[in-house]
Amino acid sequence: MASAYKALANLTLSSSASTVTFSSISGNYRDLVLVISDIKMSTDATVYIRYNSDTGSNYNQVFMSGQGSVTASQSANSTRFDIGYYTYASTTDTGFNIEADILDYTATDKHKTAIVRSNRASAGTESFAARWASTSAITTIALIASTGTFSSGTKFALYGVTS
Amino acid sequence: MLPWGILAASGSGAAGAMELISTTILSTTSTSVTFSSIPATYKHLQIRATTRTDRSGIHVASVIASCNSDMSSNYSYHQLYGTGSAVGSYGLANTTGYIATATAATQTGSVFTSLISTLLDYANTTNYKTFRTLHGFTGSAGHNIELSSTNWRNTAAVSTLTLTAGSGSNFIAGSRFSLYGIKGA
Repeated sequence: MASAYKALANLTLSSSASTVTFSSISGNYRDLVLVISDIKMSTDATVYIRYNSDTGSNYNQVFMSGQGSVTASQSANSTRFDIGYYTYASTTDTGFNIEADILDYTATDKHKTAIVRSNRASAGTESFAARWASTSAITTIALIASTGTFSSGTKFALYGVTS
Repeated sequence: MLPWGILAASGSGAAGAMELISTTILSTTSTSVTFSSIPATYKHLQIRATTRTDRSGIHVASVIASCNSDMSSNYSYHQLYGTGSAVGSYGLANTTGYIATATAATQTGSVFTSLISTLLDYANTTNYKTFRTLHGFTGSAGHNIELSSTNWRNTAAVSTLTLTAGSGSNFIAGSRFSLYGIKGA
């Protein structure tokens, strides 16, 4: 029986980049899984997402976080989703990773809600629910550094899950 | 360490560790969805679902899991959740098998809860069974991002899984439920 997970794209940055885009995403799957690993950035920054080049205020999210003994939860409506907060430590600092599961990404009867975990054990852990208020199928995912760049060596992978 | 949910991927469609067992997409309302005759040949199970109910007057309803048709109070659960204004936790023992919160009638239209729930060692006949679930939604009526852990106090292998909408409500058309098997080595 075929695997339910199919690797659609893999990218390891060979030089810094402020944006990484997955485009022409196939509509043949049920869910998408986005994995960003070995994240290094040039400065303190937020990793955020936009779909289908939509820069409107169509992104809604809630997160909860734990940093040592401090917990927090916030919600926001914005022009983007924030899916992780990077605190620059050193150019060799590693261990920050993010997984985002985007369920029913082609469904035309639903807004698109991703559930996300962002992890950097030395700084904190976060979980997000992130909704794009559109019933359009997702065909493009842009991952953007709020300031500075993703450093060389940062890895991006996109998987399709069949159903 | 592999991230949540990713145990195998194939670039060519070849056999991998995670296989689809069954998918149900509701064409009309339904109180529950059942996966029956689950083969015992996998190591773990994973449910991936998008859920909304018709519970009136409120924006949420529970999603209750039951193993082998056991709807009695043989479950315990704990939640860690964020609502956008607060982080909280809650637990209950000797109850039904809450695993997640679905959206309901007063929530923003077209908003469904996304949930992924993994049942590890479901065919083991020595241990109790524990679901671990990540789920969430955002909308004008409220927000929720939640990690939950639900235990079924029974050592029987799980051969039937039912997800039931809470508070006497129904899952609405478009709600989707997929069950995957994850192979062992």
